[in-house]
Amino acid sequence: MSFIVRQVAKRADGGDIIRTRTLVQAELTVGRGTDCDIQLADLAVMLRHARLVQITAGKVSVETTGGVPVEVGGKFITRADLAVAENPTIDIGPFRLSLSPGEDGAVAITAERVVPPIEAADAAHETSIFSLSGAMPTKRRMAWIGGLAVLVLLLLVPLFHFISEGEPALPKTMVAEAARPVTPGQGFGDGKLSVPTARPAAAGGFAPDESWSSGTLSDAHASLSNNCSACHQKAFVSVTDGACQACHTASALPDHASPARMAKGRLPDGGVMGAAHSAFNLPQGRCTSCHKEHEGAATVMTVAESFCTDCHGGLKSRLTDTAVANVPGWAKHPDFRATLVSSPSADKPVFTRTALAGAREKSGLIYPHDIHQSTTNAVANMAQKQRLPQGADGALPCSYCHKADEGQVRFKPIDMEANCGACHDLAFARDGGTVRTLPHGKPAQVAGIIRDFTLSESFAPRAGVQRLSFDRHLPGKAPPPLSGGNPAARAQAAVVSVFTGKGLCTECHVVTDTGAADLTRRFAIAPVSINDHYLPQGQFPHGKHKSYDGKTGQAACVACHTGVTKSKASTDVNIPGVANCRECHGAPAKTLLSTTAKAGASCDTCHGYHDGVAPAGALPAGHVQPARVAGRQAAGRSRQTPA
Amino acid sequence: MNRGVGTRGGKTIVTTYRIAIVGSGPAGLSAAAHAAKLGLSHILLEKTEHLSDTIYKYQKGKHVMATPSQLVLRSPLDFEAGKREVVLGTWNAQTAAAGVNVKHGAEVKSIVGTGTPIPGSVMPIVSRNRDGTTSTTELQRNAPPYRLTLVNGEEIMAETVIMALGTQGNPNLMGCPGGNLPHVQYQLDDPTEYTDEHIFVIGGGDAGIENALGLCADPAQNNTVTLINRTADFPTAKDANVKALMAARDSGRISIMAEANTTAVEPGFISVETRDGEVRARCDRIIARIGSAPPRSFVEGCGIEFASADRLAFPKLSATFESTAPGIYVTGALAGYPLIKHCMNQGHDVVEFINGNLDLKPADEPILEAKFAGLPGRRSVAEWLEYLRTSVSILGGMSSLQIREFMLDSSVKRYAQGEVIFERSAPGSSLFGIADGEVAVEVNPNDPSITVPIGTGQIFGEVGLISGRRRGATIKAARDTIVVEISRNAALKLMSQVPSASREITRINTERTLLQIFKSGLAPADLVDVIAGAKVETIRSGQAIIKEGETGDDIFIIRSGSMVVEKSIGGKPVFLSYVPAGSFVGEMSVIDGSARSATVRAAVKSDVIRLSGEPFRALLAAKPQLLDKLRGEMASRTQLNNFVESKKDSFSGVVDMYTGVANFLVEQGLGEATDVLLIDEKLCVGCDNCEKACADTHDGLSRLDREAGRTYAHLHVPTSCRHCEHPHCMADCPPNAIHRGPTGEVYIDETCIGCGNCQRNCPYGVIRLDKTPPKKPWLLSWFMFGSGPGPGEASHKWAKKHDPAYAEKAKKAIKCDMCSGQEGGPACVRSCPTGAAIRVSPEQFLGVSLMNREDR
Amino acid sequence: MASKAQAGRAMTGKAVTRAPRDTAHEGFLNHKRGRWAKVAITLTVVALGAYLLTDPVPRHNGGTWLGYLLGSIGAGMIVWLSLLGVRKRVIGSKPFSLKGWTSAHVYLGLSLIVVGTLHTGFQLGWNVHTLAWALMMIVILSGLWGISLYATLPERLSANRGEVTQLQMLEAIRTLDRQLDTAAQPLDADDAALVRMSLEECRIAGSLGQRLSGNYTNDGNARALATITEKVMTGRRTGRVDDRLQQIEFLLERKEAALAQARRHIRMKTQLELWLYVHVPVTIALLAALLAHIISVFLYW
Repeated sequence: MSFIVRQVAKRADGGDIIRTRTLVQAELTVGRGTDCDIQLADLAVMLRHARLVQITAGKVSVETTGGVPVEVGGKFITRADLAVAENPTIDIGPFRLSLSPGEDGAVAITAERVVPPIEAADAAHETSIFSLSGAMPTKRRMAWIGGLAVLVLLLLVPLFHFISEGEPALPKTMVAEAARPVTPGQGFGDGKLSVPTARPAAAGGFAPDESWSSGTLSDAHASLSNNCSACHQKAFVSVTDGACQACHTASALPDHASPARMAKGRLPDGGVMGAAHSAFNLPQGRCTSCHKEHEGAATVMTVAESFCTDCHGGLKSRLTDTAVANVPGWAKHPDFRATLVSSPSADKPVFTRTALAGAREKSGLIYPHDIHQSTTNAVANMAQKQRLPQGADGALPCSYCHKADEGQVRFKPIDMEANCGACHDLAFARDGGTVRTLPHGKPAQVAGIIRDFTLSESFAPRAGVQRLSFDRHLPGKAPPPLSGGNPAARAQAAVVSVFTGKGLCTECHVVTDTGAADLTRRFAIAPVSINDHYLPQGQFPHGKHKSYDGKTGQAACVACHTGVTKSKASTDVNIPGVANCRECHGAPAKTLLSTTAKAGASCDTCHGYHDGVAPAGALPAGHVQPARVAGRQAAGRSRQTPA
Repeated sequence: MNRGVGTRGGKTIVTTYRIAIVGSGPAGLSAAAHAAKLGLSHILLEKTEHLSDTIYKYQKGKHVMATPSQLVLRSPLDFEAGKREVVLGTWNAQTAAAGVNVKHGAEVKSIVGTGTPIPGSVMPIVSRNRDGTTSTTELQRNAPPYRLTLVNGEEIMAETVIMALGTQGNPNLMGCPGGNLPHVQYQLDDPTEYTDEHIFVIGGGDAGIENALGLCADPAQNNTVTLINRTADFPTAKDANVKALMAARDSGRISIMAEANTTAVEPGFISVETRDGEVRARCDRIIARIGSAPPRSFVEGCGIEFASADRLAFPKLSATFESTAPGIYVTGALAGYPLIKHCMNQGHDVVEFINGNLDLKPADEPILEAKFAGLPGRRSVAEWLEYLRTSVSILGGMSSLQIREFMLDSSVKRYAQGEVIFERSAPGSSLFGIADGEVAVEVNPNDPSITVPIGTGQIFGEVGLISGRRRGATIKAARDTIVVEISRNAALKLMSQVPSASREITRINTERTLLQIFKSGLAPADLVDVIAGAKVETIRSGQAIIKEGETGDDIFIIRSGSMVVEKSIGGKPVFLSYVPAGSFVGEMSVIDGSARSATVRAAVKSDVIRLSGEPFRALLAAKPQLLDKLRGEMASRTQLNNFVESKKDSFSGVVDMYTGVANFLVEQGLGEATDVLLIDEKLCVGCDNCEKACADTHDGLSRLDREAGRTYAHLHVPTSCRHCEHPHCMADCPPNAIHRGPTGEVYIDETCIGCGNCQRNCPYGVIRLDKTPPKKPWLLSWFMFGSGPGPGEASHKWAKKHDPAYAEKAKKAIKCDMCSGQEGGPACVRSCPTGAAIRVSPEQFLGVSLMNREDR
Repeated sequence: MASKAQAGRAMTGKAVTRAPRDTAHEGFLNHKRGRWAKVAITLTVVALGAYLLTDPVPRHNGGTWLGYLLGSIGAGMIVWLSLLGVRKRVIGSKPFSLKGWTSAHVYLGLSLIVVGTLHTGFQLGWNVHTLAWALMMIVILSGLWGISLYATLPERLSANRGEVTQLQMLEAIRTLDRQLDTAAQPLDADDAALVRMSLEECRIAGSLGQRLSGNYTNDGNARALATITEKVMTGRRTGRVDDRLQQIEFLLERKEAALAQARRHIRMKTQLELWLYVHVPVTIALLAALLAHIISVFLYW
């Protein structure tokens, strides 16, 4: 009845220390307490944990005394009988007791710690706890994740999208819109191609390479926002004109001048910039040189005054044969050269551009502005009698004859019947209730009518028929009786008096007596061509200038068109010079340092760019299409009919 | 089997051996083996039960080095660098094979000549007693053969004796009753072999403490360890050891009995006398580490004379290693050859000599030949040695063996006329002797034309040797000159072995120091009186040589070490300045006869030359320009005092801080430092980039421990070499592998044998033994994929994993080399991202500039 | 290498001048009397001036000549600044001052705020370009955070540490653990359980949150201490003081104190490190974004 207790202790440096005792007794106490036969120094063990009793030789019973079970063969038990021969093991806390038969019937018990003490564990991560490395994912990992995420999502994916994308499909509506020539009603002078709201993005939703967009597209191009390759067609090549002209066809937006001349006239760019441009293959004069996209909803039009003057400042020196004067800038803008009627004609009048100073015009019409502007004379009385509109000063207002057009930019052509007819009514007789008048612009008809009227009067006079006098001074007064014996002679006299006599044709027209035998062909009326714009390139919006330094209406007009009130002949040219414009217009507050606060005006306030090529020299009859002004004037011009 | 001695009825019959070899270390073994080979009758006496005890006691698996590599091995025994076990194994096998007659357990008690007394050969033996007094006895030498008496009473007769004892000596035994009981032991080979015992370790030295800690290190062993120390504290032990001991006591792993003496030992019990009465405690084992007596007294007892009374002195030996006792030869460490290879060769040579082969050239002959090669006058090595010995005065006192050995770490060079031997402020602690010719000393740095000649037989460079400072003047060869350069170690050995040389050097040093300090056209002649009264004194660290307020007109020249000057302002001592070696203090009183204006005390153990004021005043009277010079000095010092005092009035806090910092730094050994690493902990973010940089620029091992070390006012002195003026680590380096480099750094070269002496000797614990880890993978691959241990020192685990040979590698001593050879300067400073780390010399830092730091 | 060093070290009598070194006792913020601060300020002022005095069409952004210039400068600086991490670890033997690099890193990094932002011309949106800018700003701000910590923490760190090294802190705690274990051996089960709680459920550092907040109230040791103290109190009241428990209490208190010191240390170390966990990864992300930005800009030109 004895136990051989072998207690194994681990050395710090590995090896084992084995302490063996032989206890001649039938019963062993196991526990943490110092008084136990087998002392297991670990707090997981009860002070008195278990009792081992040798029942018979080779049979040992284990029984817990501390209320905490022990583990035998994987089962937690409080009491068990063990056959020593089977080398059973008892686990108590971190310790294991292995029983085996010892010599002469003793029971050998090896007590060994199988679970290492805690210390060993945290000894492992020593000082590492002082660094964050344990408590957080390493910087390296975070860096990889972040970096790769950015590279993949924002570089590779868009790149792949760009490469895999085929020919871009342009939205039809846009293409159509762009191909349509610029039409009336479309703002121009203010430098805005007005597309009121952003076009919706094309179908297909978000495109990965949108993430490369440097800013919002202009409203006009908004529908391309998910279609980068519509414009950015080749990698590392700046957007080409080709890309723009795919929609904006040459017919819709003609060249400013023939490319050859443009190249010749352009100021060659040098210095650092030039070097940079050539280095990165960014030649001048591309669409994108002045049309910058991704600059916000408003516009792609980003021309600066300097852009024009770059070329026009010294154009003559480079493009010697040009008809256009050098324009170094607004301040040095040369005075206007008005387009005047040099020879009036019914069907092909000839216009000539001449400097304003001392310019005379041959419209073929006799029209003194001063009489019609007077407030007192017969014209004024007549106007009152006729209930014609009255200006503030009581005179006939400019707007009676000069009617603004739809655009409020120019005026409708003068129309004899509409603008003069109220007074110059061409009445020659009263026949009962009706007043008979002569047709305007048909001399042969007039001759015929008068002749026939007189003849009929002499052969079969009727009551109630009364000839009227053409003299405006004495209304209602009967004309002197026609001289001459026979009716034919009297009729001839009547016709002559109509064409040559005061008060009718000769009031406004130059009449010549050809002395032809045929009475209806005898008198010829000089042709009349009334100029409808003196500065065809000019875009002066009269509508915007209804009031001018405090004056309005009449006064406003006269403020610029000085001299109209005194003009005695229609040969006078009453167009204000550029100096007049400069009083208000000039470079507005642009840079920090400039303090000028003037009404803004860049070249394109008055001038167009995509207007096609200019014809050189004097303009042909009617100088209709194509003119270097916006289309609507051209259209207006085509409505002109010879008077 | 042992042929000579058989005991019959307590009486011993003795036959005489040709050679008796005492000690079976490398020298003894090799001698015995050679004797056996030559068939000479011999006996090898070894006191332990195994051969070559010293190496046997190396810790298991220690790598034993074989330096100097260029030295050929003559011994019949093989020896190459390798594990302790391998080396011992080879030797055991080969000794057995050679049929060496070994007698184990044979400790020799005495060796006496049995022949007729040798006329006139009487040797005085000076023995120092405990109380410090010395007593002299006389010993009459007798002719061979010698009788060797063993501790156990046996006697052995031999015609010649080879002493190959080594320097280990015998441990002091316990005097108290029962001191000889079996459970009392005097060494501890493997502390882990004892368990569940009550063990008393006696002795508070390093050995005792290390044993005690070893025994209680592992609680699993369940030993109850008690350390008995005679005194209250542990003055002789290393600081680190004492700290560890206290820690162990606090954590209850060990108990200490201080001021205690063992009164009795009996089986199972020990009685200890403590302040509060006698204690009798259970005790299964006693380990007594109460020092060991050097073998000197025993050796002297055999009639062997030592070169001097100096502790480090070695026996006087002839060229054939024969001592003053005819027929007794001394070899190995005892003869001053610590390296195994030397010893083994000597063992061989001695036997050859005894065997009559007297014209055997020593093994180091080729080395010496190489040294003398290329010198004019084709002399043989022997002739050269003799020539030098006779022509250089201080070498006169050396034996031919000494000079030969001495030449091994010295060198001879021929300088053409005008050739520079060394320049001003070049570092260098070697001593020069002029064998032939003359040199010129440029005393005035501004005017090289002014020179002082030094002639044949004279020495120079001794200032550098003694002060440990850079050279004070440039020295050129005045005509073609042959100069012997004596390395610092050789010079120190010389001074300890040849007293005359030592005296001479001291005298010249004093004179030259004076000349160098007070240049202004003094000649040696002017100084005679002054030097006559000069006394060299050694000042303990902290001891004051001048006390403020006292009267006295002595002038002190600091020869080595350094001083701090303090002035008590407002009752508090305020640090004024730091005085390095080579300068002087105390002149003020001499000039104006006033009382001492400040206190001067030693920052470290220093040597000063005390000059009495009288002759000095006379000198001043004679030399007005010298007086002016001193007045100049004085003015500047007074200025400093005033400055500090003014500061003191305005912000005394600053000055106290400044004093505090200064004193702290001096405590930390700045006093003897030439270059120290400081860390401003107001800036240090603890990134350890300094350590990493150090490791990455030094074979992957950091020479610096940023965290450890003392701190004061956020000024941290990390564990890193201070490059002392007199490096403690150099004191005892067997292969002599520690040198001072050309930029003043103290470095260990690759001949290090990893013995660890330097590590033990360094008071600042900046040297450690380690193996170079394998090469690390490319930094980029760490950056990107974290492969390898990253920058800095790799863990041992990593090293083991990546270098199969790592476990076998030899540990070598490593320390800061100031990054010499790196044009960028110290990597630790370069690599500090915040500018917290600076490396400065004390003069640079211990100035008033320090005060500004506090203002900032 | 050693042998090479030897060759250079043979004692010649020459007065070898020691490699030049920076002995100036000044921190990285005022390195060379704030040389880099001056450089950075100059750069900033010039950039601002150029920005305000020029009036590109249609507006300031990366596309103008100034934009390209600032962009190139900025990109260059970002790459160079991010190289500090490499420079810090490649020591070599050539002269350089990491302090100088840090100083430059700090000040030039700050000037990037201006350079980078002017490069954008304040034209920000939801795209890779703005992402790059945002990441840059995050990096710089986290850097600022770091500087503020570097300026304030070290002093407190060293004050708290005294002369104790990290290993010693751990050792102290482990020693107390051992003592607790021994002292607890004679205790009965539930008291022993408390001690085990202190031994096994005590985490010195704990989670990031704990490190920062320094709140370890429900840590094993704290709980054990609380309960034991309670028991001892009741013991005192009832006059049946169990001195073994008192011993345990005393040890637990000492351990708590040791833990407190270590944890203060850890807390500050964590703060000193944490900002880098933002600064560095975001820097890498920034470099990636920068690459994407540049490529995309020139790809879609």
